[in-house]
Amino acid sequence: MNLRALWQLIRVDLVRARGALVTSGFGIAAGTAALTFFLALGLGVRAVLLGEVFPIDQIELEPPKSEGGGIGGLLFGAEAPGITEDQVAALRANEHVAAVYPKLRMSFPASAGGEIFGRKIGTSEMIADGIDPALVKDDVKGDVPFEDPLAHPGKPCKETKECDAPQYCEGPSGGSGVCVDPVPVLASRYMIELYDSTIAPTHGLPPGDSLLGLAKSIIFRLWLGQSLLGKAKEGEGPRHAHARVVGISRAAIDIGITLPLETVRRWNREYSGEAAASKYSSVLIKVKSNDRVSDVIALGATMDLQPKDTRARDVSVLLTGVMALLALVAAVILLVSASNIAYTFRVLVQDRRREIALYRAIGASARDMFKWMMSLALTVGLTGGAIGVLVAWLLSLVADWLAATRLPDFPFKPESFFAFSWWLILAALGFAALFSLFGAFGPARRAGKVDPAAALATL
Amino acid sequence: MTACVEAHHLRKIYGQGKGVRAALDGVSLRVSCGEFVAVLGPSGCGKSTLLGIVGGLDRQYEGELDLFGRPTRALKDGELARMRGDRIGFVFQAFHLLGHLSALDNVLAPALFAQDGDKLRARGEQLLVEVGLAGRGGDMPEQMSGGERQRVAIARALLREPQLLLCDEPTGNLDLETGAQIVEIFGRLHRERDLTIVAVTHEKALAQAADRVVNLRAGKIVDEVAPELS
Repeated sequence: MNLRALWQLIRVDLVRARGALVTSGFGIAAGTAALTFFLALGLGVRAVLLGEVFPIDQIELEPPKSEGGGIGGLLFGAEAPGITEDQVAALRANEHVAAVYPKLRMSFPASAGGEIFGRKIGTSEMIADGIDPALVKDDVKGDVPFEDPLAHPGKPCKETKECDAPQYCEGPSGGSGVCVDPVPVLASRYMIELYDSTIAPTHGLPPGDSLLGLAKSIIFRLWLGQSLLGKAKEGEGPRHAHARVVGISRAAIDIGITLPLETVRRWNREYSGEAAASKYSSVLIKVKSNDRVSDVIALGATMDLQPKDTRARDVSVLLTGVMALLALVAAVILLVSASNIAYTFRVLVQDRRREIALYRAIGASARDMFKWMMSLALTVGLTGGAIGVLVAWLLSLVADWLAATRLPDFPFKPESFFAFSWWLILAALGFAALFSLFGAFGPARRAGKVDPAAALATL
Repeated sequence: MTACVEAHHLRKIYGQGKGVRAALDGVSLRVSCGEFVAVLGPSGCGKSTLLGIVGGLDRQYEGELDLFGRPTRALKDGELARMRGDRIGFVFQAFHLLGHLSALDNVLAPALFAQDGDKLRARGEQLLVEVGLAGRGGDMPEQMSGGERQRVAIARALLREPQLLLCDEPTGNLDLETGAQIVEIFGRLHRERDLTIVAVTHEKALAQAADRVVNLRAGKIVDEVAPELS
C-alpha cells in the first residue's frame, strides 16, 4: 500500500471516527502542552539563571580564603593571593579547558564616586578586579578599547588640568605622568540590576542599559591609595584616576568594577608591591563541555585551588531536578493518553473487523492493516502534539504577559520566562507521536491478525 | 488445461477435544482456468470454509493448495495478499460493502492496494455501467437494494481484472428474480471474459449456470456432475 492510499484511508477515518480520535488526541495534546510548557519554562529560567546569573560553562578557581583573602587583605594589601603563571599554564594545558583568564584583585584601598548627568551619586569603597581583555572583548560597546590606557600614552603632565578632556594625568602622586584616556570599566549585569532597582529610581536616572549607549559621557573618579577605611602601605600617596563605563559583562565582578588586567597589575605594583602584581587572585576557566566542569575542579584541587562560587552547579542540579519532576508529570499525562489511545483503537479495530477482513480479501496484507492503524495513530499523535505545542506557546505568552504586568521588577527579571527551541518542539512532537504509537501498537497488531475468513463469514 | 486451483486433501478442524468438528475432511478439487464450478451443498457442509481456503483468506488447514500453479504454503502473507489483489475477486452473500463509501468508492476500494490504483477510476465507472448501475456511482449502499448492492460487489470484484472469481452464496440474500439477474451476470462474465468462477451455493439455479457441479456433504465431496444432473 503506497502513501497516497494510506492517506486516503486515514483521511476518511479522520471524518468517520472524529469523535473518538478527537478524544484521544485531546489527551495527547494536553500531555504535550504540559511537557512543552514545563520544559520551555525550565529552559527559559535555566537560560537566565545559568546564562546570566550563574554561568555554568565556566568556573572560577581561587586559593583558599585564608591565603591572603578576606576584606582586610583586600583593602590593606595583605600577602597577595597566589596563583602563579606556572599554575595558569598548567590549567591551560588541560584537555577539558577551552581558555583560562587570570584575574587580579585590586589589593589596596581605593574609593570611587562622582556625578552622572550632574547628579552626585556619592563616594564609596571600591572593590575592583582586573581581567584579561580577551575575556570581555565582545562585551565592550562602542569604539573604546578595553585596555590599559597607558598603552596609548599622551603628552607628559603633572596635573590633569594639563590634559585635554576627557584625558587625565596618570602617574605617581606629585610625580610626572602622561595624559591618558579614562580607564575603561566593565560593570556586571548584577550591578546594573542593582543600579536599576536602587540608584536610578532614587536619583531619577535612566536605566543602566540605556546609560551604556551614552557610555563615553559617564566618567567618574577613582581615588587610589586611600579610602574611608585607611591608606595604602606603599606608594607615593593617594591620587586620582578617571574611569568610564564601557560595557556590561558576565565576566565582571558582581559587586565592584572590572578593569583591564594590566591597569590593576600596574596599580597593585605601585600601592602593594611586586607580589601583588605578579600573582593572580583567581582564574576564570571556560570549560569545553558543561559536564567536564567537575574534572576541572578536581584539577584545581590538586593545585590547592577551589571554586569561588558553586551556586551555578547547585542551581543547575536544582533546576534539572525540578524540570525532571515536571517532565515526569507531563509523561504521566502522556501515558494516560496513550492508554486512552489504546482503548480507542482497540474498539476501532473490534468495530472494523469485517472492514479489515474485506481489505484483506481485496489485496491488503496483515502488514498493510498494521501500517494503517499505526499511521492513523501517528496522525492523531502529531496533530495532538502540534496542538499541544501551540497551546503551550500561547500559555507561555499569557504567563509572560502576567509576569510583565503583575509581578514587581526584580533583578534579572527576563522579558520571557520561556525558551522554545526547535529541538524542544521536535522532541515534544516526537513524544506525542511515540506515546500515540505506543498506545496503538497492540490494537494495530490485532488488526493485522484479524482472521478474514472468520470475519467475512458472519452475516 | 492449466489449473487455476488445485487442492489436495484439504482438511479443516474446528474446536478442541470432544467438541472437535471437521468442516472439511479430505477435499480435493481441481478447477481449470476458464471453468465455472459450482460447489453445491446444504448449510454447514463446509462450502464457505472451502472458499476461504481456496481464496487464501484462511491458512489454518491441512492439505495442499496450489493457486495458478504456485503452492500457497510457500507464500508469505504479503505475497499471498498480492496474489489475492491481482488475480482473485470475491463476491459474498452479505455483499460486504463499506457503508461510509459511495458505490463508486466501494468499487474502487481494491485500488487502494494496487500498484496502479490511481489509474483504475475510469474502469470502476465502466464496471458500474456493465452491471447495470450507470449513474448510480454516487449512491450510498444504504440507498440501494440488495440486488444493486450485489452488483456493486461484483463490480468491485472485477476492478483489477481477476482471473478467478470466488462467490460465496452470491444470491443467498436476494429474491428469486434478482438472484436470476445476478446469475445471468456471472454467466455472461464467464462466457465473455473467460473468467474462472468458483461459486458455492445451496441454490440450484446458480448451479445450473456452471460448467460443473461439485456436491459437498459434511465436509466431503460426494460427487461431481454436470449441471443438468445436479
